[in-house]
Order: sequence, then structure tokens, then C-alpha cells
Amino acid sequence: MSKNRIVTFVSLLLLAAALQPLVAQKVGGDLVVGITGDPYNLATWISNDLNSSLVMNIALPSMMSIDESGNKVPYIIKDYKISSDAKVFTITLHDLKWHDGVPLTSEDLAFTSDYLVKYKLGYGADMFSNVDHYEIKDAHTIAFYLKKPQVNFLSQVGFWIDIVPKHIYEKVTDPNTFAYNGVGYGPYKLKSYKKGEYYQFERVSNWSLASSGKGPYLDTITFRVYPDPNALVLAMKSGEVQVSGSPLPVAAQKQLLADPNKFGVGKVTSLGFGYFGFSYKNAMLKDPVVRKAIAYTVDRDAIVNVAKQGGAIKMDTPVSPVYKDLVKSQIKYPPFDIAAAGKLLEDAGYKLDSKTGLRSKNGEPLEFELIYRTTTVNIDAIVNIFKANAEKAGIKINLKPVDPATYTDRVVKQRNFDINCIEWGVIDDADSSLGTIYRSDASLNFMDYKNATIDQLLDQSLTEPDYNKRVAIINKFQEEFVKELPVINAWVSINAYGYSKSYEGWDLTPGLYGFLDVKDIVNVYKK
Amino acid sequence: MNQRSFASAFRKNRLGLVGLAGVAIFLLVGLIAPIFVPYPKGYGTEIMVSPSLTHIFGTDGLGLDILSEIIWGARTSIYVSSIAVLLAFAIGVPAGLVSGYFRGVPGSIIDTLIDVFLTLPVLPLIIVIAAVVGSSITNVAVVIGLFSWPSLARVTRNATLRVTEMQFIEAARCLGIKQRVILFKHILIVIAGPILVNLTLIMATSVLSEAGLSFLGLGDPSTWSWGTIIKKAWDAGAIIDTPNPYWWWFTPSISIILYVVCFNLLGNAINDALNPKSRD
Repeated sequence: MSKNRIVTFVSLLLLAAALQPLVAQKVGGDLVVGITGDPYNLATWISNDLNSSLVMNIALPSMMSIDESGNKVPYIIKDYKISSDAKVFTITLHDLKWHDGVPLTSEDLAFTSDYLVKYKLGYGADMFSNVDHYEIKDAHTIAFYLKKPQVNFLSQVGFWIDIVPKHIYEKVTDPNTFAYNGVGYGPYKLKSYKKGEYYQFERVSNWSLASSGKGPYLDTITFRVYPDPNALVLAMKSGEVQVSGSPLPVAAQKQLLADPNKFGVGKVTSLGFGYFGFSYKNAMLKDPVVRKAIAYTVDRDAIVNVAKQGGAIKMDTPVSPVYKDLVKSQIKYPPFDIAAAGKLLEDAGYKLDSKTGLRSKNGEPLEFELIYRTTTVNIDAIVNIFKANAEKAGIKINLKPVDPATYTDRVVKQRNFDINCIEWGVIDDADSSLGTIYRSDASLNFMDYKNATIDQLLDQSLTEPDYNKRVAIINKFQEEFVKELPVINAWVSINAYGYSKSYEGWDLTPGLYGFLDVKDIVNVYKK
Repeated sequence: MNQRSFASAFRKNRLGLVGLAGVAIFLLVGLIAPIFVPYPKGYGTEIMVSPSLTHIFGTDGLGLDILSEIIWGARTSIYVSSIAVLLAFAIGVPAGLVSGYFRGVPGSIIDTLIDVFLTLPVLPLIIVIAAVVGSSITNVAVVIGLFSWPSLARVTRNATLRVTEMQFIEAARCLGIKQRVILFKHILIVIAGPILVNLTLIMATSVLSEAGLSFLGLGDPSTWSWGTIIKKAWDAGAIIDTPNPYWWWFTPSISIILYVVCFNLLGNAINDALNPKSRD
């Protein structure tokens, strides 16, 4: 060994020795996170519920995370290999253990694939539906062989699917009612919880993917459930809560920024978007004329500037403007034009009753229920703007505010609604993954619409390996989508999260969880 | 007591007159609201403008005039109060009359029922029922009314017990007058005073209940009520905002207070005027 190498080696040893006390100094402290709305179920594979995913992401981290640029990067995955034809994906997991001591292996991932498909569990079933078979290479490596090429298989499965514990679920035949105990493989394990009140997690010491194998810093992280952002901010100001897990509206942000020595606010443009969706089970909403007329009544400027108080950007394209390449084509929804909406309906035989101001056809009035979660930020103002403009065009809107659990039950499970309004948390890989929400047979197609052309284009985007060609396909999709109009996208939120300056190490990257993203929260420590 | 002495006694109660004037104003504003101002809906450009000559109570987060919302809220308050009072009257008065007049088994059953209802945790029950039946303003009013009758029944029962012992009732019985007539004509007229006082209290408390339900998101989101205005201010963060648009949440709050105080003053004044001992 040369002299230089010896010097370098000794220096590294000294550096590592010097860093050890620093890590030790940071360990300790408790963090309380405020969230608005209670998780629907600890088992994240049961429902598409943001609060469930947020809370459980520190116990059940996704295999891939999102970096500062919005790109998917491996996290629980140690290594991966994709065949040139995008049909074989070889995944190697890090050497981790479930919180009950059982090793996390490729068997678990294989089981997850089978189990989600077998029991048709949410979008997970869709994402694994293209798997023809798999081959377990060793304890941590598995190769998935797909039926047809799928360029986004890894980024979708890796980001969205939490691995199901085989040793717990292999005998479970009714996952929807099974009381999952929250055992995961992440840096924090569930210690106790009381539904509707709190979820407390404790540190997994020496968790290998944090602090060079020393584990996360904070001893405990407790999620407390609050009814709305105001209550959450008041709890932050009183010192009861140190960070908001849910995005804050502008007024709440101002409250925290009024005390800059104690609080900070981090902002990141959402990878999701807010939209109004139409249920095709409603015969009148199945009429494309009605959907187009409603599209004409959406005033995005008012939603962004009045309802969201500037805390959002307009979205008048089927794909989020965050994905700049995909919106260069400028394929847009019908613009805000009440007169055009009225004329369209009039021409289609929806006659206006001058007394009631309501349109009807064959004795059936244009009257719909708009269902929404009360916990969505600024939702009351958004739906009232929508309602006011729809009514100017002769369409009556009955508002139906519900709690998150009722919303999930009515819209996601039963699909029993007319129009819904909500925000997607993340719609990622927009050049290849829109089929997850917009394919006719997608589990997230709450609208129950069917369009063979859209299905075909989305399938093409999924299998086309060339990015530029995928962009061209998505442009064709957008052209078809603004004709079909199963949903009307309206805004992209600028998500803002408050945090206490008594803690350090905060980092905010695009994604679902704000400061609570597992790869970021493991670096947070108490001053 | 004859009408003249009641009116004379009532007029001497200044607070009672203030209450009566307040109630009259609220009734007038509520009943002829559409003549005053158009129904506030949609959104405007003057967002959260402080009180001025153009907008006396300022505007809200959607740029709507808060005075208009308060006026239409008064209409909702009167509607809810009236439904609640009608229901309470329809259930509570017959129950109290029957219980106080017949006593015995039917009286005991009704009395026990009144006791049971009086011990129920009313607000949680109202919340649960309102959540189940849906959030129309009529549903909310009916739910409130269904839980307002026990106190009225108790007052009616106690008054009936006292009156039933009186000689003119004995005389009516001896003359063979039908019990229905004795109950609803002879006794009801005599006990109208305490019933009226209790009804004014129900008018007041039902608005408090409606505001509470609306604030919890169980009111009608399409109807302006004072509770709804406060709920919207809360949802938009106006209550914690900096600088604070106090006019948005303060004016509906003060409206609720004034409405309740006015009905209470009126009820107390009626009670005092009907009860010579309390005047001394």
C-alpha cells in the first residue's frame, strides 16, 4: 500500500470516528406531526388514501423515492436492471428486517405481486397485472417478466407499492377486513395508535439506510389528527405540534410566518392536481354535451386567485403543467365561457326554465350532487365558485361535503356519486403512467368511463421506449381526452408545510409527504 | 290577569321592550330579506374588504357582501327557530297537558319519557342524527325541534298540575264538559304564559344549536345561516389570519348573540308581566 493510500485510509478512519459522536448527539427527541383527516386504514394497499400513505411511509417506505428534480431514485431497492425491451425487470432489495424480526426478502415482493392481483387490491392490482411470471434469484433479488413491454413498471411499482409482509398476510383471505398491526420495514415502527386521534412510531435503531447505518435521529414521531388546518396551526403555535404533515392554506402559512424565529414554511409545487370528475353512471352526465358545457363553466382564474388565494397555478391541460414537455402542444380544455355553455345546452335540447333558472330535457332537470372532502384545502371556496358558474348556465349543483372516510366509501368503493372534486396527491411519470387513472379498466377510473381510443394510446405510451415518441402519443391522448372529458382538471397546488425551527435537518422534495417523506425525515433532529 | 294589566306591566319593563324591539327587527329583516338585498352567491373581485360605506359589514373570502349574508342568515335563523318551536309545541304541550291532567299510569309514562329525554346528551345526538338524515336546513330544524320539546313538556306539566286542582276545572268536570275541551281550552289558556316564555327560550336556543351544527359542517352548505358564515370564515383561515378580517367572523357572531339575548329578554319580560310576584 502506498504512503498516500495509507494517509487517506487513516484520515477516513479518523473522520468516521469524529462523526460517530455527532450522530450520537443528534439522536433523541420526539416530534409531533399534525395531519388533517384520519388515515383510512394502516394497510396502505387497501385504499388510495393519502393520510394512510403519509403516516405509514415511515414504517413502510416505498421502494423508490423522488429526488429534488422530481426523478424516481432507488430507496429500499439496492440495485435494478431493466432489459432493453422493457420486459424484464430485475430488482435487488436492501438487506432489511421486518419490525418483528423476520427478514425482508424477495419472497415478500413476489408475494406482494401475487396477493394484490389475487385480491384485486386497488391500483396495486393494476400495476402488477402485466406480470407474466417472476423468478426469485436469491434472498434479495427477483426478476419480473412482463407479458408486454412496460417502460414504467419499476418506477410505478417502486414508488407506489408498499411491500406486503408475507409472513403476516399469507393466511389472510379477506384483506379488506383484516386488522393489520402496522409491522413494516422502515426506520420507524408503530408503537401505539388510537384511530381518529394519534399514531405513534418509535425509532428503529441501526436502520441501515439512515445516518450511515445508525438509524434515524428522532426517538419518536407521533401523528396527531386535527379536524382542519386552523386547528393544526393553532396546535403548532401552542407548541403541541412541530410540523404539518398536511398542506397549509395561505392564511395558516401567514400565521406561522408572523413568528419567523420559531417557524418556517416550505413550499413545493404539487405533482398532483385538483379536478372535477363525472360519474358516467349518471345518465345525464354520460352525455358529452353536458360534460362539455360544465367544462365551459370552470373559472380557473377564480379558483387559483380567489379560492386558493394565489397558492396554486392554473391547469387547463389534461396533463399537469409541471411536465413541461407534455403541455407544449397546448391542447386545452374548453375555456371559461358561460355563454358558450348555455348555447351548447340549448342546441342540444336542454331548455331553460326562466322561472327556476334551471335547464331540463324530457322532464329531467340538469341537477347534480357535487361530493367533496371537507379536509381538502380551500375546498369550500372552490366548490362554491364551481356551483355559481354552473348555475349561471342553468345547471343546479347540490353541494355534498363529507369527511374523508365517507368520501372514500362513496366515491372510491361504491362509486356512488354525480360529480366529485378532489386533488390527486401525485400523478407521476405522466408520459407513460396516465393509464393508472385514465384507462377504462383502471381501478382509479371512478368515473366508469370507457374510451377505446384513449385506452389504445395509453397502452402505446406504456410500451414505447422512446421518450419523444411517448410525448407525441400523449399529445394524441390529450386531443382525445378533451373531447371525452371524463374529468376537468383545474388547478395545481403549491403545497406549503409549516415546521418548527427547534428542529433541524428539514428537507422538502416533490412528492406526497412534504417534510415527512421517509428519506427526509430520518435526517431531522432536535436542536 | 287581564290583557290590559299584562300590557301595562310589560311596558314598564325596559329590557323587555328592548328585547321585543330586537325580536321585531330580526323578524322583519328575516321575513323581507329578498326585498332588502339579493341572495349572495357566486364570487366577486373585492376580496375580504373591510367595512366601508359600500359594504357596511365588509366582504368575505369570495368577495360577497357580509351584510347580505347576515340578512339572509336572519331568515334562516327564524325559519329554523320557527320549525323547532312548532315541533316542540306540537309534542311538548300535549305531552305536558296529558301528563299533568290525567296523572296515573299515562302521566307517569309521559313523565318518565320527559325525564329520559332531559337526561340525554342532546348535542352529540343532534350531531349524529343530522349526519344521518343529511344536511338540508329543514332536516336540521326538525332535528333541533325533536330535542326541544322535553323542557316545554315539563313546564306545561307543572303548570297543568297546579291548574287541575283549581275549582273551575272541578266545576267544568261536574258540568260534563269533555276532557279534550277542558284540556285544550280551559287549562291551555290559563297556562299559556309559562308556555310562551319557554317558547321564546326555544327560539333562542335553536339558533345556537343550528350555528353549532353548521360550524361542525352539518348544516346546509347551500343556505346562508350565521353558523355557516362563521364556518366559512373558519375554513378559509380568517379567524387566524394576519391581518385579521375580523368583520367576517365577528358580525355573524354578534348577530347570534343579539338574537339570543333579545329572545331571552323578551321571555323574561313576559314571565315578569305574567307573574306579579316576580315584579315585586
